[in-house]
Amino acid sequence: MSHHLDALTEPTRPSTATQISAGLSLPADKKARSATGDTRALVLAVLALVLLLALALGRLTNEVPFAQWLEILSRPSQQLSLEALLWRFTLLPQLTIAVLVGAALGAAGTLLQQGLRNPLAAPETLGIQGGGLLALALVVLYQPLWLTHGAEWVAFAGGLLAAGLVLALAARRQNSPLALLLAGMLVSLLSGSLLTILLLNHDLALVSLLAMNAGSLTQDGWQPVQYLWPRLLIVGVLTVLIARPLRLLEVGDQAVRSFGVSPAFLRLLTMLLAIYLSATVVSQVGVISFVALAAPLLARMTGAQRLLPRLICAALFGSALLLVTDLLVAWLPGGGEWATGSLVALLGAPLLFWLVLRVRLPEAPATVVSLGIRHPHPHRLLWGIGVLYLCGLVLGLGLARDAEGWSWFARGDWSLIAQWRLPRVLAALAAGGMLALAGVLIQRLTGNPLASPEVLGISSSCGLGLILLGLFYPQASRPLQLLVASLSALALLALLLVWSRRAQFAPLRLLLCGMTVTALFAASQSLVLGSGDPRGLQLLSWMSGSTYYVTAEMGWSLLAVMILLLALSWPLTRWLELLPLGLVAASSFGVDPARSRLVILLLAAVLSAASTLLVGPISFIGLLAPHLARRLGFCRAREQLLGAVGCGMLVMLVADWAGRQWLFPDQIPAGLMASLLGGGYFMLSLWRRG
Amino acid sequence: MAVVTRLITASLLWLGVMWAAPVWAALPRVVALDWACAETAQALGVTPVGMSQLADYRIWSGEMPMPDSVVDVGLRMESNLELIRALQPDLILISPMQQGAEPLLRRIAPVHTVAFNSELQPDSYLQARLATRELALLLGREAQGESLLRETEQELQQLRHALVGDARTMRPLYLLRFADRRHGWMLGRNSLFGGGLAAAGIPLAWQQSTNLWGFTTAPLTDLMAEPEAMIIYIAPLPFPDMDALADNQLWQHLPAVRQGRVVGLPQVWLGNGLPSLRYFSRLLVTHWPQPGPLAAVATGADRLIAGETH
Repeated sequence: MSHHLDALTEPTRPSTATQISAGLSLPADKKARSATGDTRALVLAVLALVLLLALALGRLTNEVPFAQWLEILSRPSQQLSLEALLWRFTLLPQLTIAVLVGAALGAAGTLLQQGLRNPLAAPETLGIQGGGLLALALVVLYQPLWLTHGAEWVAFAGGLLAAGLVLALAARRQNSPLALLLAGMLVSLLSGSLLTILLLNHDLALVSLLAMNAGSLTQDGWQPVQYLWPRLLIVGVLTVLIARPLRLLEVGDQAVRSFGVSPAFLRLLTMLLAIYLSATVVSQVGVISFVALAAPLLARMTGAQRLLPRLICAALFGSALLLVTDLLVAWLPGGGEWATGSLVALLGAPLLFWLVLRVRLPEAPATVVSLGIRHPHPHRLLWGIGVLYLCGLVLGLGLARDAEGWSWFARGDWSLIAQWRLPRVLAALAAGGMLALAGVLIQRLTGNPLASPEVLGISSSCGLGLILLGLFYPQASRPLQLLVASLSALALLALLLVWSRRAQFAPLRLLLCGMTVTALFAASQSLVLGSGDPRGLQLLSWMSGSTYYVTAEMGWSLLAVMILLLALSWPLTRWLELLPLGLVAASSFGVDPARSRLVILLLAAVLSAASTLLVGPISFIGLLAPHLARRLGFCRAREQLLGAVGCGMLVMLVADWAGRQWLFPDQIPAGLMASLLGGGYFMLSLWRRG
Repeated sequence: MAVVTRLITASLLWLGVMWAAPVWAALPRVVALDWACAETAQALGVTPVGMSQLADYRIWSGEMPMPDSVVDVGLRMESNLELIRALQPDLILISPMQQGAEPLLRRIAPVHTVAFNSELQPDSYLQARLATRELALLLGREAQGESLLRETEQELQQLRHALVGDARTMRPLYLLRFADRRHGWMLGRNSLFGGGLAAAGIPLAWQQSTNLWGFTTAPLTDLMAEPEAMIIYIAPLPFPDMDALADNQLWQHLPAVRQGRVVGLPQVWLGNGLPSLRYFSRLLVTHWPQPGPLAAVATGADRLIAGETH
């Protein structure tokens, strides 16, 4: 697989400074250059913030007339009325913290983007926030006393580890933006899976973490503000000090060296500053995603060019974004019960979509997929998979833990195996096969070997549909769930196709769209979980997907459906061979573009939805299985379909088995286990240079 | 003579055991996937053979007894079916939230859903009494069930006696568990403990809506709504100690906090049955501060808070 990743993640152009800055440029750059652009961006950012501050002032005066402010602020707090106390110790610090946190995140995003020379670097894309949260969860569970030394250092260590891993992985691929994004996505999905496993098994101990995950700006004193501002000030001063050499990074490492600074040291310092900013934010108000990604993008789009104006603009836009969300929260029905962190991600998703469509990315459109080295005798390979598959079945059905320890074949209790283990094994097989099938279909449809139901966010969109269904109609039957999930998948697939057709399914853009949907899904999930409702846990275990509830009849029929869908995609292999060559080539061979796409889309949507219901939205099998198949040497469409389905079934079988045995008597949903296996495999293949 | 007496005593004993034996043999092997069911069955004298998340139950429910013979059958939401089957239960007890697994469990043993919370019954104490009675009937332990109800009622009366006569008990109570430094799970009237307090004639201060389990997550600032109230918080704290709240200026300015009207209770699980309610009520009695000069200070400061002075 690694040579495919190579083909994909190598920078398509040598990364000289001029080309990078040209490549990262936005449409706005043409209209205004340098100084005028900077001024315009600054004016716009200041205007936006002033407007929102005026609205915030309006809210403040609504509660307490302006004339009384000084009195309330100066009087000893013991003499204040309740309204005055609330105004002074909740409303005012809340608005202040929104401004501070927004500025910190905007600056952190800009620093990361500058240090890495990558327009998509942000705490959330690099896995910094996820790593910080996972570290906090582990410390809460196993070393709670460490928290007395300050939660921000725990979050900092976790963020540092995650970012270090991502950067190390990306460095193996010449730091191309795509490789960085891919590594960041892998690390955040992996830490997310680990966090979900912890949450499912220690739901009671991690209650406070759920609230943190949702990110709330609610304040009840000035302590967090007093904690944040000196730290922000120090980071700000340090940033101004290194701003000049940092700016030279755009020109190239040589220029930085001529300044007397080691470029590597400069990068490290920039990263540390950004990670520290994001860790202090996580420790004070929880996870607030989206701002650090969007604010620097906004700064660029409004025309800011040079580093310092861009930093200032990003900070201002960041404050404005959080303020606007906070004001919206106040107007929403239910008032302060909404967690701002999740809400900003929810509201921000459409904006992010818009930005993703407008930002010009440094890559040539990927048109032709390299088809890998074909194995001389693919059918022999299939026999090999068949043998492995039998071993897997023996493992999945035979070896298990029980009250007395490990046992083979349930100590001869065959009815136990037939009634209780077989259904789960069948469901795992069906889910694995369906995901693999969907993966091959989508990869060939988009001509993009990184596409899969999980990466494109199709599975997440199924999950989003299911959350909404669960909230408004909790007693929905399985067929209705399947219908809703399929429709959500179809809607997203269609949107993706329409939007990215112009860009010829450029991998980076597709990946970004997928990340946006995944972020949307994660935000709504943490919003529900953060509310503390016990049904949140039910939803989490439901969303993680499980083969638990499958009966034998269901298992057999799922497997039958999988085989039926495999058979249905059999006649499509001609399309599947030709579509990756691009539309022009395909239609010159007589493929009707509209019809072929619609059919494949429908099939992929149903497959994604059915498998999401079984194993949850994040499993990596849809990405892993087609890659494994191709790496083994199944290159033609028909072979790849069979090979991928075989691999997918096998991996899911092992994941389901491991999930049942690892934490016995507790269990881990098969989808989560598969995401650990698949994510680990992908990290290893990114690590290998190929 | 002595030999005869011993013989008679021995045979009487033997007869007694024989008479009792069928009762013991009739004791059903119960697997309880819901903690409220498990502890109620245990209190009725039917120790479950298996229950879910036993280790967590021991940590979170305070000093509720659960013998070592009980087998942990895994998570509450997805309990280990193979392990439950190996325990060969006569009866499986679940809560309405676990009904998704009922078709599966029914293939192992008869399943009974006992609702300790119900959307139809806003009084959770009443609902818990109904559920206890239902469980006692199901397990053939009606007498034990009635005495459990009676003892709970007596304990609530003792709570009332302990709290009445203290000027502070005229105040409503806020009952909460901290979710984090700034949020709490606020227990409402339709929670088990809230219902129990109401039955003892002690009003709850939390008036906002709550979820099915009788609580809602809300910022601590919402405790401002009833400045006269007393605050009872239940351990554990999600932060190392109460000093962590020293940073929380609003918490420090809550009238109840300033006047020392805050009581911390050790761990007890919020969503269980009557045994946990009894334990809670005993805890509240033992941790209730002695009436003293506090009350006098309180009334003086309250007038200040109300903004009557300048």
